[in-house]
Amino acid sequence: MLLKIISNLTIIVCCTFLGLHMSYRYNYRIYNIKILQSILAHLETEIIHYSTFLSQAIINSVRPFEGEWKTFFLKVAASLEDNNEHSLIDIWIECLKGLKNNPYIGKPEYEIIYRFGMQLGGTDKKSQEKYFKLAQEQLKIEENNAQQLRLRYSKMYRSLGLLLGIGIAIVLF
Amino acid sequence: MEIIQIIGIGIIAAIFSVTIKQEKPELAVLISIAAGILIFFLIAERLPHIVGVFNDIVNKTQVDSIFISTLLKIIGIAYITEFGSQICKDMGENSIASKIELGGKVIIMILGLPILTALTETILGILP
Amino acid sequence: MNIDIIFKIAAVGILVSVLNQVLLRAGREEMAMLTTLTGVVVVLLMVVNLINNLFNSVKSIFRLY
Repeated sequence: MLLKIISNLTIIVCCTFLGLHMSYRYNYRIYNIKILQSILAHLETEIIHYSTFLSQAIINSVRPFEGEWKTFFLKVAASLEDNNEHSLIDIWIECLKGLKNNPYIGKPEYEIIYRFGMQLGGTDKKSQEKYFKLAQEQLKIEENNAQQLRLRYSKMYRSLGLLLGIGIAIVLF
Repeated sequence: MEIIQIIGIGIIAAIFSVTIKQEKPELAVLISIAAGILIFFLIAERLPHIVGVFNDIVNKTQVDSIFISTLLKIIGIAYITEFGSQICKDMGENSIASKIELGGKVIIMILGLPILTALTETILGILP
Repeated sequence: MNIDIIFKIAAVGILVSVLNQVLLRAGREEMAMLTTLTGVVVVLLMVVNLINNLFNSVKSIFRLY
């Protein structure tokens, strides 16, 4: 009897944490989008106004931040430094592959960054500035979308986890 | 005292049934089914005694034992039929309930036929 | 035979209705429908066992073979 109660409590706790994790994903996605916006803003300043080399510009602009995108940008910078054979586009695609199935990064912002990388460094300063602006605008829209998704589903997943745990426990009891 | 257990099961099931009925009527019906079955199991332990007493009486009076076994079968079928049709009525499916009752009646009729033929033969035997 | 099953069914019923509310509020009607269906099927599986027991015992008591 005691064992039964303990195991059922374990099931409930595990399911609750699963639900909390699922709802946390929405918060963390918004956080990642905000970080990405700041990184892009820094990068724009570095490239447009200081005209630093791209790898150094990336390292400089990423420094104060955290999260998934930081690792991505650092990876790009590292590959740019020690591997001169490949073009920026190849490196960009290769590094983005690691983020494809990341639960904290939505598909839309993944694609925005993909498109952004395709033209990075390909044109003159003026159009670069335009592309930066475009990416920022798209990210703004995605942030709003993510905010709405969070309002809708974050609470639902939180209670869904607990309820599902209780349900499994009742059925097994 | 089984009667206290039976009353307890009934009251608890009724309270749950009323609680759930507003949200999920289909589950409320399942609760009443479960309560009915549990109550039957409580009295099921006593029923074989009654059947045994019946058998004793039949053995003493030397009536043909096929009559008493047919009677028991009819009681059993009537009970199950009543159970099923009552559940269907609880769910509001009166037409299905009446079909179940029809099925029960026909089967009871078939079971009763040998008694009927025995009766007619006896009457024909008495008549000159 | 014990009364646990009635408590179980009632708990499942209350749980399913709460789940239904949560899913409806989040705007997932189809998932709410599915949870209702799942709850009914799970409870039905428990009750079907009971009904089978009932029929078997009625058969053996009244010799309805």
